[in-house]
Amino acid sequence: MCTGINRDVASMGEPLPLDLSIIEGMKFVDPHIHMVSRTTDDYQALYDAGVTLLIEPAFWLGQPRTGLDSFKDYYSSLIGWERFRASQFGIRHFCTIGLNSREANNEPLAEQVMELLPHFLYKEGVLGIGEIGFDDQTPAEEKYYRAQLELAKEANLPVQVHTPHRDKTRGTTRSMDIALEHGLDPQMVIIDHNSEETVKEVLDRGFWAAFTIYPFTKMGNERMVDIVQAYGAENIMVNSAADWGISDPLAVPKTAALMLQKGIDRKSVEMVTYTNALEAFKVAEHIDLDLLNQAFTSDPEGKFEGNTILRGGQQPRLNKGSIIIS
Amino acid sequence: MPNCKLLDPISHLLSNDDQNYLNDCEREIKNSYKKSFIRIFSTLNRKMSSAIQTAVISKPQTESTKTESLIIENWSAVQLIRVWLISLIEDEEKEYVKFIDNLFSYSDMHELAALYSSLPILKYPENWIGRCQEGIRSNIGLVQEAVIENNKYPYLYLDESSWNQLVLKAFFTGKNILNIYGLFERNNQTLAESVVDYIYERYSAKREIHPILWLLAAKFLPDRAVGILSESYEKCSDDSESFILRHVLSQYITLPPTDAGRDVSGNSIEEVLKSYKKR
Repeated sequence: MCTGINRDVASMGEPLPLDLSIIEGMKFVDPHIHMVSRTTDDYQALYDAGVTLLIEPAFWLGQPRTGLDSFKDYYSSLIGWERFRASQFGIRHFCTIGLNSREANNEPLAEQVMELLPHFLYKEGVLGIGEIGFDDQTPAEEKYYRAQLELAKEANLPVQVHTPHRDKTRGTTRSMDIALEHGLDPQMVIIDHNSEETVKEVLDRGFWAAFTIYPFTKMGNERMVDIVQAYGAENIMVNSAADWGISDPLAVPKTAALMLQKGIDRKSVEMVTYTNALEAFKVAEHIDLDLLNQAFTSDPEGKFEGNTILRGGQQPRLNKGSIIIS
Repeated sequence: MPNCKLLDPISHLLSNDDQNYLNDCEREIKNSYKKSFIRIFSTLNRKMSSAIQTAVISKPQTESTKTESLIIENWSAVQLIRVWLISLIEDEEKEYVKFIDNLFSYSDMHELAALYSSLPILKYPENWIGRCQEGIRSNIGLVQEAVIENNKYPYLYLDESSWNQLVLKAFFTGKNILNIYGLFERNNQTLAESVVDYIYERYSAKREIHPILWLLAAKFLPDRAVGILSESYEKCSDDSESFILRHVLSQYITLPPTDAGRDVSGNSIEEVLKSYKKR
């Protein structure tokens, strides 16, 4: 068959056994992951694999919201409940807040959301504006992308830019053109979801280039190894963009392991999976980076507005080997 | 039996109870749709016999059905009845648009599929362009299919950029591309350029390239794309796909006559596409 669209399993390469021992003791940042749609098992797996800090960009919920309050409650959850939930698993949670491109197309609602955004941008845990940019590349998307770039400039915050799946190369170029037109420093802009076709221009123009390791539809991590070998580690970072679709929350640690196995030096691997993201999102302005070297232990007594995940002093770990659930 | 041609494809499946119920529904909707429609529309599935609940139907396309607004292919019977129910609503523009708009806002996914399927027969058609664009953006397969596949509304009412989104989205989400009504009639250079970008991306990622992409970009292939096409053609072992690739490639370079066995010679591109669509 010459077709097979996105799910051509045969072209996915030989499976390699999962052995994360090579990254034992390393720390990782996942700078793009949608934890609101993930389970507690994922939080535990992330922690076990060394992900100590993650960034959750605001996005859509799989279907369009119809009213302002659902945006408000969602943003509140990113700086509230979800942040607390992450802390219970020993993971530091940060987010970016923004009006995503798809929902920018509902202009009457988008106008209201724009008025809401300044209330959230300066909150504890908010690193920047994201994920914003183009999806269908419509005039409405452009209008709110521009408006949010202005907000970012005014607030001096980094911007996390989603690039479109369709017409990607042109959409990526246009996203960068517009950011420069609004006077943003390319080092304040993370261009996300890059591919082999876009990476060169993004790096040449001085932007951060993020790569989403996402099965079937975006980058595979073998291709990612090739990219780091070709372009080096400067200004490059990887993320999982794990969400409600079939995605892999361990994409960052797995890619780090694969890069080491394929002979990429440890310093470069650390840049791509840890330090570059911290630098791009200016995490040091929010937390003393030395603290990241200390264990961030969860407080089993911790409560968020009276609710705790660890109910009734229960052990935080479920014994998966037991048929008994008590 | 409710008096409507629209229900012909399922008439043999309707039990007496089904028919009586639908007759009542028709009367109630015509009497006061504002009072009765939402209840009838939402509860339809559980009111129908199990034969209707599970049936999937198609209406054969012939010369005489060509001018009909709806293309009924692989619809659930309930979807068809819902479209019929929608067709019963009559009101002046302002009231009608407000009511239908609310149906979209509050619908579940099966109701949404029925609403999008009914786009070509909704009254005051210019009002539904925004809804149509939103349907293309949907993430829910059956909703996407209802608007993208076998639907004449996008072909008739969408502007070029929305049309192009529909086609690209169809490739990205693995839709049956040849079910897009008016696919080749509305092809355009901007779309072809986006298609070429997509071909490059698939090629760089070492992923397979859908043969119909080549047809859409056929008139606008840069040298790099011709190279990729040539390589794909060399590697292709499927007869129909090979024919499609050759059809496009021969517009750029002179090809040697095909080897026996990998040719669909004598067939036109239309015939090849027809058989390709069926599989």
